[in-house]
Amino acid sequence: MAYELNFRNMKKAFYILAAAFFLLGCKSKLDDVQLNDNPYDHEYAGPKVVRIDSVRRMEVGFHVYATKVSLTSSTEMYQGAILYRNGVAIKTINRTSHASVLTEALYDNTAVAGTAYSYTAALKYDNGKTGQSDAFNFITP
Amino acid sequence: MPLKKLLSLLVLCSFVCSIAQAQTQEKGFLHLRIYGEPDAVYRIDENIFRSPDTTFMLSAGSHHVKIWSPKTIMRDTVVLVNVNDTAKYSFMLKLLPEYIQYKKDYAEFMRVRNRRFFVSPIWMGITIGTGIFVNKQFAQKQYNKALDAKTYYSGTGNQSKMDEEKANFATYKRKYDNLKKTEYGIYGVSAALFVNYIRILIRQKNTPVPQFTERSAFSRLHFNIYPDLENRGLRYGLRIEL
Repeated sequence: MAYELNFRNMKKAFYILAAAFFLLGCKSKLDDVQLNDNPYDHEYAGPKVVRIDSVRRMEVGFHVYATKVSLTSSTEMYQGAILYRNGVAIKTINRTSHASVLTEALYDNTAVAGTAYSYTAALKYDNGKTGQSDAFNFITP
Repeated sequence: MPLKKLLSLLVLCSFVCSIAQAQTQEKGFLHLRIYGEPDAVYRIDENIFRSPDTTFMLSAGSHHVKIWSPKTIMRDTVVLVNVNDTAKYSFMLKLLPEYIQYKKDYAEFMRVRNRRFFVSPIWMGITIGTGIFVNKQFAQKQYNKALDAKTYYSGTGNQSKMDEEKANFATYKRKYDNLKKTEYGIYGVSAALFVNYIRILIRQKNTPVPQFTERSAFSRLHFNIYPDLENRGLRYGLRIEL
C-alpha cells in the first residue's frame, strides 16, 4: 500500500522528530566520564595500583639482616611509597627515579626472627596516598 | 341616419366609456427597495422584475411579493398599496448559511494559496543558526571546562583538590547538559517549522477550490399545518422554496 503523505502522517512525523530530538538532547557526552579513576581518591573504584612482589630476608651488613619488600606499581603518578607491617606504617621512601615501575625496595630492619608479619604497601603523592595493597604474609626466618 | 354610422357611433361611445372607467379605477404606488443582494429577482403577483430600487404603479389592495436570489433566503410576503398613496417597503435579504460557509471556505482557500512560503525557511535557518551558536559559544566551552576539571582531578593526589575538581566537573556538566537540551530544543523547533512548511505545501497543493452549491430540494421542502376555523379542522400542505 502506497504511503500517503497527508496531515495525519505529518503529525506522526512531527511527534517522531520531537521525540528523537528530546532523546538526543538527554544524552550527554559527559555521561561516560567518571571521576573515580584517581587511585589517590577515597572513592577510587579501579584495581589496586601497587602490589608486593616479594618479601625475603637478606643480609644488609655484617651479621645485620633485614626484610626486603619489593613493590610494583601500575601508575607513574607517585612520589614515594609507604610500607605497613600489621597495618602500621613503618617505612616511607621517596621516589628516586622516573621509571614507570616502582623499583625501590623497602627494608624492615626491626623484624624479629620467627615472627609472622602481614606486609602491605601504598603509594603517596601530593599529601595523598593510595589504598593499601593486598597483604603479603611472611614469617621472618 | 344610416345603420352603419349608428353602429360606428355606438362602438366609439363604448370605447370612450371603457377608457373613462379604466381611468377612474383606484390606483396606488409601491416603492420597493432591496438591500443585501442587488441581483435579486422578485415577483409581484405574476410579474417578474430585477431592479432593486423601483416604484411601481399598482392597483390598490394587497399584492404578493416574492424575492429570490441564489445566495439569499427567499422572502415571501404580502404588501398593501393604498389608493393614491406610495407604500414604501425595504427588504434586507439575509445570506444563506451555505453561502456564508462558502465565503468562509473561499477566504480560507485564498489565505492558504497566498501564504508567503519563504518565511518558514528563514525561520528554520535562524533557529538552526541559533542552535549552532549556542553549541559553539556556550555548550562547547562548558564541555571543555568539564574536561579540564577531569584532567586536574586525575593529576593530583590531594583529596581536597580532587573534591574541588569533582564539584567543578559536576557544575560544568550540569551547565553543559542544560545548554545541550536548549540547543536540541531549538533544533526541535526548527524540525517543527520544517514539518509545518511541508504541511503547508501539501495543503496548498491539495486544497480544492470551494464550490457554492444551492440548498438541496429536500431542505427547501416545508410541511405546513394550520387550523381551519370555519370547517373546524386542520389544513395541511407541502410548500417548496423556489
